[in-house]
Amino acid sequence: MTGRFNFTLLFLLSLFAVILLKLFYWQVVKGQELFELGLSQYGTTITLNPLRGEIRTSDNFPIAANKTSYLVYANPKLVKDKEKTIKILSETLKVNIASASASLNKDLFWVPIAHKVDTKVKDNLERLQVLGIGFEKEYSRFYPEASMAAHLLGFVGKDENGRDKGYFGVEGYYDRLLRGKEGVAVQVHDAFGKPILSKINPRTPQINGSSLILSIQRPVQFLVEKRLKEGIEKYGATSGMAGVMDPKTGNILALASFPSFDPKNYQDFSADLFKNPFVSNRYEPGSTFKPVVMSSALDSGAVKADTKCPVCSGPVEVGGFEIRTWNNKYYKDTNMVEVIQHSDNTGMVYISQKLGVDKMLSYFEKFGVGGATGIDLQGESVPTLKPRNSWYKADLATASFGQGISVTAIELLDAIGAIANQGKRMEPHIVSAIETKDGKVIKVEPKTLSSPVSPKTAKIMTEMMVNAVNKGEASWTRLKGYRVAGKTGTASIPIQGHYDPNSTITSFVGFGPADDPKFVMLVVLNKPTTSIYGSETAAPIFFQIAKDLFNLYNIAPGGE
Amino acid sequence: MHKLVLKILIITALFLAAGRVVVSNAISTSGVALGRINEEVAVLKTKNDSLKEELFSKASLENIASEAGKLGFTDKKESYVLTSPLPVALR
Repeated sequence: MTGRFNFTLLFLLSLFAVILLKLFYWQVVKGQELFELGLSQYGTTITLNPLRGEIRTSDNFPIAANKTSYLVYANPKLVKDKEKTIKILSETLKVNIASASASLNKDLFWVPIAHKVDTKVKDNLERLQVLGIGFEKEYSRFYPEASMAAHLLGFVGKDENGRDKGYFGVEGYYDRLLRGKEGVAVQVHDAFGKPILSKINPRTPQINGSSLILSIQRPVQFLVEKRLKEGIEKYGATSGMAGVMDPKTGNILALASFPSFDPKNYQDFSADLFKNPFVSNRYEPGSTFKPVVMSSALDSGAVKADTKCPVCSGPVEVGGFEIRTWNNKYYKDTNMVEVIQHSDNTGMVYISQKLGVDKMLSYFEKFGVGGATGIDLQGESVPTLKPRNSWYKADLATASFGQGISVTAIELLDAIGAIANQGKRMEPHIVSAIETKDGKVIKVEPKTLSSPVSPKTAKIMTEMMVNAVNKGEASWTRLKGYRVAGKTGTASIPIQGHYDPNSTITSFVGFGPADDPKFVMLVVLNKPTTSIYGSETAAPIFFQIAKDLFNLYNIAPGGE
Repeated sequence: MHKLVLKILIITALFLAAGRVVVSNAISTSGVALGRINEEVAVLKTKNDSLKEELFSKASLENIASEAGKLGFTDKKESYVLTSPLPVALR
């Protein structure tokens, strides 16, 4: 009797165990697979696109915002008159007839016809009540200031999966922050497999992108672009760029370059125009580089402001090369202040010899020459310096007046910014704050990169640059009543192992007011045709912008 | 005693069931109204977006500069500056 009970008990327990195991198999081992299978019977998984974050200027004005647009789709099975529908679609949406025809002839319930369709176009199409055509809301980039700061912004294109992706500028650098995170939803079908549009069940909601608040001051950007554009036309240059930075914080206040592109219609422009030349292009800076070398020599004690140049009475021979001044004028026993004032190449050669290669390279490193500044823009180029053992006497000499050495404009602007900021070099940056999707604002704090020279050296160098503005070759265009520190630059362009005899890169770098700088600015023109000199092309643009800035910041004249 | 409790429970259950029927009946048509409100919200959101777009376009410096140009405004050539501040009061 007991044996039979035990047998029955064992049998039933085994049966339960088998059922439990099978249940475990279906619910745990195969659970996800069956869930997906079930899901596919009543719906399909669709992606919910997040709203891309805005890009705003320092006054909180969105220069890259989002606007409502529409995805126009078709259900080919519902389209009765295909020819008529194709004609309407091609006329209203400007889509290719062949592509519209191919879409409508597909054996599908849903085919996309056009993305980012404007509300007005969608309304016109909707009014025609075309059977089988539907609309889905989406967002596209909108630029209230049109192509202003295009190089700085970059643009939004598509990645290999057809999703929005930022390229170049801030859009490229901060793409992950701006784009947010996609969500997933289930599109429920009816018994015939047709989607029920009102039945979308979100499974994981999308997370909208964060917005960026730039340090760019909209009026400054506007003025810089206006003056630069006028200057390029006036002086017949092939291109030009200008950057304005707050030397105390590293905040970029404006960054402009021409020719430019329209971020909304980027596909209509050559890809060469997308790179921001201010951070991506290398060039030989010419005499605008002299303040970097001079302040290095002053700081190291190699020379003093009143040191007389013993080799400046004529051309100097270095390593088999004869080095002349830009205008072939020579000043015997000239001092260091006058070397900068006259932009004297022979004086700079003397300084470089007193400084020596090791010290010069050490100062270059501290000034950030030959390294990345770390600016938060996509595509910063890093012009590396030659290794120490490849520096010959002639290299040292030419580098002292900014030839045979290449920099990016942002690198030079940042280096001169250190002189303006009592010897402290700040990290240049564009984004001053990040606003998360829930409204939390995270500020980007200024960062000191290095202290290449002492405050005392920076002060002496500033006075030398003020003297160069007031008495140098660009004094005709200076702003009377304002103390502005600056230096002109006229650099030859290297082509295939020699310098182009017919064209130059002209530039002007400086800051103002010299005693309490509100801005440091660099203006560069490529191959101006009216004059080959920086003092006659880049300098007037610099001072025109400086005048606008003094007015904008309410800084009254009151100096020399 | 037990019977009384049981009766109270049954009566309560019946009242609650009847109440549920009444409330369900009253709100059965609210779904349509809710749907209408949702649609209205969506339309207003879209309208708000397009008004924002218009506002930003009008407030852009490009637009302001172009409108100012049409009205005849030009860049000022010189600025007038008071070189020494005027005293607040004279004794």
